[in-house]
Parts: sequence; C-alpha cells; structure tokens
Amino acid sequence: MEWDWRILSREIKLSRIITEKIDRLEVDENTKSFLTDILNFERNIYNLEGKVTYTEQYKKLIEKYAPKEDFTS
Amino acid sequence: MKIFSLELRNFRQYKGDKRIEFGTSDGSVTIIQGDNGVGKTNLLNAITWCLYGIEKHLSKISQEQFINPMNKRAIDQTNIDGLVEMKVKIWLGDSIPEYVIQRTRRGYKMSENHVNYDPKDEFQVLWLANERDMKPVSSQPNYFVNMLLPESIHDFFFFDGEKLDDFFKADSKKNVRDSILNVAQIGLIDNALAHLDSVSDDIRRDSKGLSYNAEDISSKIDGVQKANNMIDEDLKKLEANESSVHTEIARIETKLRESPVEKAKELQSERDRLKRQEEEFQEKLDKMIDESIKHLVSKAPLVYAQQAIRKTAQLIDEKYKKGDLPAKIKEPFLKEILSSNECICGTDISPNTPTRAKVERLLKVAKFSRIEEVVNNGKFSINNMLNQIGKFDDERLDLGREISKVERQIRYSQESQKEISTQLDKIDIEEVARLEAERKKLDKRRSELLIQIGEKRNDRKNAGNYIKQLRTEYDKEITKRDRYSNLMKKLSLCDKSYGILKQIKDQLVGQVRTTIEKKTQEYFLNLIWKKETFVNVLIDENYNISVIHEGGWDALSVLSAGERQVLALSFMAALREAAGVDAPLIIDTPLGRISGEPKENIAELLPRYLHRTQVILFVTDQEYTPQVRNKLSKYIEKEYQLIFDEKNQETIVMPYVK
Repeated sequence: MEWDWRILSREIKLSRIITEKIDRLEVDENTKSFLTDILNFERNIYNLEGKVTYTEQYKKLIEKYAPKEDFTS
Repeated sequence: MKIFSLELRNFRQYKGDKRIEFGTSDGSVTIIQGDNGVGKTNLLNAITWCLYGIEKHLSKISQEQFINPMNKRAIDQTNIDGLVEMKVKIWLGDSIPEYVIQRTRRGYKMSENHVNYDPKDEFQVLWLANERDMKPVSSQPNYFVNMLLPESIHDFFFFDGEKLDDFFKADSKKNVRDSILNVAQIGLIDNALAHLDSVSDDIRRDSKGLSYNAEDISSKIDGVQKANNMIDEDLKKLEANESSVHTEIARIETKLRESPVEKAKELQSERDRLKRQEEEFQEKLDKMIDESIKHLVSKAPLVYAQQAIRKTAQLIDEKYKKGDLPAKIKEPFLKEILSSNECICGTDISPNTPTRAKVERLLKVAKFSRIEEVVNNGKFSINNMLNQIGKFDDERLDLGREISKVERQIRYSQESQKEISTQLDKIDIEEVARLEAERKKLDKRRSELLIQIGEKRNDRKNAGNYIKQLRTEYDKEITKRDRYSNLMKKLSLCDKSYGILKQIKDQLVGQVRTTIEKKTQEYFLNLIWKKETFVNVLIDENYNISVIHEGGWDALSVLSAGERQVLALSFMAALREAAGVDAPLIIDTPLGRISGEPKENIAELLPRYLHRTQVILFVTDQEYTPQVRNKLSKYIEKEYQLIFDEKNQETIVMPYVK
C-alpha cells in the first residue's frame, strides 16, 4: 500500500522547511547540493531503520561535491 | 488519528479478553474511573507496550522487579505444555478504524513455575483495506509507529497528571529544553550533524602523516642543477684544453716524423705504431671486460642456486632409479588409440566396450601424472644448468688470464713508448731534444687534464643520479601534497556544511521555542482561574520559563500545586500542538493534585481548549467528583469504571455507574 500522507506529511514538511532554508543561504551551489543530498540520504536511512551505513554514502557524496584542485596548471 | 478501541488479552490484571471503546468525535472525552491500584496506569502501559514494546509508566518497584506483564492467573490456569498468550491491540483511524497495531507475547508453560516465552514478541501494523481484509502495512512496523507518534515525544501525549507537578519543580530548564528539542523533531539534522562530524574525523585521520616538503626538495634540485651546470662548464673548458694540448702533441709528433734526423724519424714511426697497438689492445681489453661482466651476470645466479639445483637433480635421479620416471603411460598414445577405436594389438576398443572403459581409466591416471612429463623435460634443463655450473670456474680463470695478457701487452706498449721518448731525449740534436722535451711536458699536462676530465665526468654522473633521485622524491611529495590539498577541500566542505546545518537547527529550535512559548501563554492564561494575577508566560533563549505576575516579577517559584499543574498542562498542550502530531491525549490522574474550585475550572476549560483533540482521562473517584463530572458532561462520549473482582483476581471494565 501507499504511505499514509497524514503520517508522512510532518516529515515532508520538515524536509521542505530545511530545503527552503538551504536555498536561501548565500552559499555555493555545490554545498547546497551536498547538503540536500545528505539530508535526502538521512531521510532514506531513517526509513530503512539504519540498514544502510552512512560512512560509505557520505564519503561518496563528499568525493562528488568537494571542489577538486587543478594541479595541472 | 484517534484510538477507536483498545483490546487486551491477559495483560497484567486484565485476565482474558477485554475491550474498551473510546469516544472518537472531535473534542470528545472518554472517562475511565477506577480506584488506586485497580489498573488505570496499566492501561497506559498496555498502550506504550503495544506501540513501543515497553511499559513506560511502571512504578519504581515494578521497574526494579521486572515482573512479566503476562497475567499470572492465566498462566496458572494453563495446562503444562499449553500456550499462554498476552496481546494488546489498538484500533486507529480518523472517522473510522483504519489501522490495527498489535503486539503479542507467547509462551509455553513448561512447569508450574516456568513459562518458556518466544524470544521475540510478534509486532504488526495492519491496514484495514475493507471490513474483512487486513493487510500488513509494511515490513517495518516500528517505523510506521514512530511516524505516527515518535517514541521520543509520546510523553507529551500520554502522561501521568500527578507527575506533571514535578515538571517545573527541579531543573525545569533542562526539562523545558529537552522537551522543546524533542518536539522540534530535528533528528534528521542531528543525524546529519553527527555523521558529518564522524566523517570529518576520518578525513582528519587520513590527512595525518601527509605533511609534505616538496618545496625543500625543489630547492635542492635547483641547487644540484646549478652545481651540475658549473661542472658542465668546467668540463667543457677542460675538454677544450685537452683538445688543444692533443693537437699540439700531434703537431710536434708530425715534426719528429718529418725530421731530417733519421733516428728521430724512425723512433717517431715506432712510437706511432706502438700507440696504434696500444689503442687496439685497449679496445680489446674493454670488450673483454664487458664480456667478463656479462658472463658473471648470466652465470652467477646458477652458482648461487647450485645447492638447490643439485638437490633437485638428485631427487629426479632417485625417481628414475625407483622407476617412477619416466611415465609408463603416455597421454597422447592413449588418446590416439581411443580415437581410432582399436588398440595397436588389434583389440576392439569401440565405445561401450569393457576394454575401452579400461583404457579410459588409464587415461585418467595419465592425466594425473602430467607432472611426470614436466619433471622429465625439466631434467634436461637441470643437467644443462649443472653443466654450466661445472664450467663456471674454468671459464672465469680463462677470461682472467686473457684479460691479464692484454693488460700486460698494454703495459709493454706503454713502456716501449717511454723508452722511445728516452731515446729521443738522448739524440744529440738540439731541435729533436727540444721537441721531445716539449712533447713530454704536453703529454704530462694532457694526462693531468684527462684525470680532471674523468673526475668532472664522474661528478656530473653523480649529480645527474642525485637529481634523478630528488625528482622521484619530489614526485612523491607532490602526490602527497595533492592528496593533502584534496582532503583539506573535503574537510572544508564538511565544516562549512556542518556550520550551515547547525545554524538551521538553531533557527528551527528557536522557532519551535517561540511557538511553544506563545501557546503555553495562551493556554495558561485561559485555564488559570486567577485571571488578573498572571499576565504572561515566557520561555527565554536559555529555556528558562517564567510566569509573570501582574507586579512584573517571576512567580514560578511561588505557584501553588494547582497553578503549577495548570502551567504543566498548558506547556504539555503547547508541546503537543507544536509537535504537529495528530494523536490523542491520555492523562492519568489529571486532577490528582488539585482541589476544590480549581479542579472544576480545569475540568471545564481543558476540553474546551483541546477541542479538536480526542481526550482520554483516567481518574480516581476523588478526582471525579459530581461537580467535575458535571463540568465535563457535555464533552463525555464514553464513560467506564474499572472494578477489581476479588474472587477472580482480575480487573473488569464496565460502564460507569454513578
């Protein structure tokens, strides 16, 4: 069955509030995307009752979003 | 969501099956009245055990004794080996029951005093698709329940009224702070913060030992390169000098070669011949030394390993002597006769014949003995190695002898040239003697220059090797620097994100605090009977709660028990509202600490200010006075009383009788 929207709405509301706050921040897009992704991940592992280890996923996201030094120049 | 009904089976004093229906229309109140100890609080325990698997409202004694909640008489009345079952079932929904949450504990009675319980209670959340059909909501019922009413905030929905009074007594600041943080439900951010912190620590650990000194090495390379350039310049000068000295010597020797003095001419010609000879010998010697080095490099490993090689040869010999080698049956031979279906003796070995089966078995054996073929072939290589080892000493001696012979020839040629020079010196013609003396001087100079050139070339070679070594080190340091720099960028992303999330968390908590402050103030000022005495309720940034007296001072510390109860109820109602969770409010002994008129005031006002909420009150007869009942009457939808049946030692639920 589908999730009961009455139960989920609180979580969605909180998520939306956080996302809006992040959007309004004067930070680079990379950091915004990183924060959005980690919060999405946190919401998902919460749903999965901690069956996913965070370390690996966080390190993947950090690798993806951390600016890379151009050593060739 | 509202609780439509609660079903109990053998839970504590509720023996057998019991069912309580609750009032579910908006703002309805359900009253469950019972004397102390009859089982009101255990109804609350049944609900929390069903939802979270734990009885949250046990007395201190029960907590310490850890008594299984399974009804004792139900166990007593079960036969040995019989099944005993305890179950709590909650029916939930908005206007009709939509979900059933149930937890069941089962055990088998092993003896009069021992029940073997299943290690895990059965826990299910079922969705009522229609009247007859119930489907499990998900494989994660705990998650569902936590979404419905998070365990961390259930205290603001199901609570003991008598304990509310303690809320603002000791360490109220901590209670207020913890409650607000729980209600803010920022677990999502807290988890992200904790995880960021942990991953940052990992990155910091990784960056340890990655300090680099590429710049130092780069300076060293520059220094050595500079020195090398100077060596090159010196070398060029020396080589130019040597070349001009060499030309000068050649000029003198030409003069001697063309000298009118016959003897001088002859001696110079002889010297030319000896020089050519020396050059040829020198060339030969260089080749022989190369050959000697190659010989040593190719044969030395065999010499070092000769003990192992000899041992291997010995083992192979033993195998031959025992007859283990060579292999008796050759695999290609067997394969060939199998493919031709006929043995060389003419026997038929067509498929499915017993003889063919025999040959096929032999082939299997032959396959296992492939190693023998390898050993057999290896025997020749080993013999070849032993042969080379045997010749090694003689070959070295021969090479040594040849080299010594050529070295002697070179020395002889050089001595002869010296002798020629002496003879030229002795010729009693001034011009010849002068030329030879000059040549000798130049020759000496050239020898010195050649030594210096050799030294410089050696220096240049060493400097080149050193630069090469430094460059390798530099590359390593650069890799370390790049890695360190990337780690620092990752760390910076984590730190920045941590700061942002912390800021968002503080903002959210601040907003929740302000909402709770406003709502507590609203409820308190409406519920309190001394309307003019108190003018405000404040919760500051440090979570200090103050009740402002009309005189402008904080009256928290001088509130009466009843007033404190009203403040706590107001705060609870505010927390409940701020939590944004639609769940019933269940209060055990809500008016236990309040007497007289205030009790009636609260009874009248509480449902009014919780008008959209399902309220369930567990009350004693002292609380549930006719006056209180009268004030509540218009909200009451269901009304029960709990009676303890002494005879059957169980609590029964029956409609309330005045």
